[in-house]
Amino acid sequence: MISLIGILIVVLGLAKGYNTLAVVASAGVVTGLVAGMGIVDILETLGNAFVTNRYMSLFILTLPAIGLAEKHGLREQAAHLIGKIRGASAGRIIILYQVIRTVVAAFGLRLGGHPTFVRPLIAPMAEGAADKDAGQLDTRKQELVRAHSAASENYGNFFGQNIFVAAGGLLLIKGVLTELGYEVDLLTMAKYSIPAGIIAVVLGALQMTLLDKRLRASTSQNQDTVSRGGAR
Amino acid sequence: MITLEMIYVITGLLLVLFAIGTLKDKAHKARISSAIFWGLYAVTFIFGKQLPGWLSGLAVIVMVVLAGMGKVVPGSIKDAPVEKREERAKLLRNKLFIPTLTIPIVTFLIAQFTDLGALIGLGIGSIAAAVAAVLVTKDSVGNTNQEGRRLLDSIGTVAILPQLLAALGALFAAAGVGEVVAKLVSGIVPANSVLAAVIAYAGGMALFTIIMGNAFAAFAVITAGIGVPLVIVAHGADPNIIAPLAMTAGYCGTLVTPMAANFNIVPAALLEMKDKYGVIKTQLVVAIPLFIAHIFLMYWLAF
Repeated sequence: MISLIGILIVVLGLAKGYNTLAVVASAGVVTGLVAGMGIVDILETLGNAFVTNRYMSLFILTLPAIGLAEKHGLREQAAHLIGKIRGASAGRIIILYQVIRTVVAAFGLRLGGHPTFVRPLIAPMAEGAADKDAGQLDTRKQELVRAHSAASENYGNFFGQNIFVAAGGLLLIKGVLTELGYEVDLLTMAKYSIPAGIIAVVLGALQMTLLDKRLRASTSQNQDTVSRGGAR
Repeated sequence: MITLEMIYVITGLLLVLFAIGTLKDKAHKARISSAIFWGLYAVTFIFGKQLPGWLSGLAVIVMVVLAGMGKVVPGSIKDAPVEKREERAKLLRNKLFIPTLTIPIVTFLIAQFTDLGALIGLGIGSIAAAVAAVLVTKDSVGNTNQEGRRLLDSIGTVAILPQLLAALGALFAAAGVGEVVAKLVSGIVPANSVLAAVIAYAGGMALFTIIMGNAFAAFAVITAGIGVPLVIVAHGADPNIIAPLAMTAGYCGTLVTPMAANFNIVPAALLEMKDKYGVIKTQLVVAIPLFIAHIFLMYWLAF
């Protein structure tokens, strides 16, 4: 039971707003200590896991290209392009992206959409559309549009990926169940992942429709308007 | 042949360039400590495989201490002014999309037509995109580095959070946290209720995913501790059906936890959002009904 203290540290630490990295590292060290690990053991486990998971941070390589394109107006062009389409709204763009993202994931494409699509393309397009469709964008609306854009990427990615027969998740399931003595079939499991994918799209569509309603309904009370393109 | 290790080294070299740029940034408020942070990060990328684990671990601790003390801050490069960006956009128009789209296209081509895999594809695609960006904008390589540093600065130290959380997961696993959670949950489930067993399995997956930030890490422990004994063995659920549903039930947990930093926290930073939990709050609205839907799907389909 005492091994759960790490969880307590994370929950309390994040709730109190302490630096996230410090909270997580402390939780890790304390967990290791109560499990009877020595300091060197703990550092060893920490370091090895950190290095093994370097792939999680490969998005850093995309930053120069995207940063340079942004300097030259990438996000402005994305918003401008959307402005030419009639009937575009933030919600519609985002739900269209979620559908595409789900289908693409179901075909096995792993895209890492947040730095590649959401930041440079989808969020500015949605902001541009919201600006036209729902009136001048203020900070609050901008936050909403950005959050929903990121959410659609996650919905599409998470609930589309296991529809692909050789998805990492399905392979893991097969591996674990085989260890535990059960034979499972990848194709069957992929098929049974379809309902969740569909429900995620439906729920996402509902949420994005609500987003459009919220954006149109609220009038900008404060004068805190933001320049087009959503730059800081 | 290009290996993944090479891609890591290239990433590390890029971070070295960022560290140097940070050092040379005279108007930077904390250039030495920030440069040390990014430099140490670079070291874990370049020498990670060669260094003994505890030394990498030590580097991570130093990075965390620097970040925790507030000594790693953005540099003095600002966004280009809006007018300038609009002016350039009018000139370059849709050619601006070429560098951005190069990344997924090259990643796909390499993953599909070679046996190098998607990660190496991403690495090569990113480099190709940087070249494309320079060619399209006719800007300098030095500025490309600047802009990359500007973006990384705006994401901030939270960039290392996903890897750090993976390390936390490893420590949790070493301490047997998963087994304790599984035991607790299975202890309170009434033996003859199919619905209760299903809720325990799905709920256990979601709960432990929230703790670990990663449904893959949760799956083995929760399936062994709850799924197999309580649902598959006790009530005869078909593993082909209940297992993938349990996994996506876990993904509902991924939507709402700050521990899944690369999906929820880093994107908020990447989008320069004021509320770092803004993505999570938005996703709660879908995660909860979707989780409940999973209970129904498992109950109706798996038996």
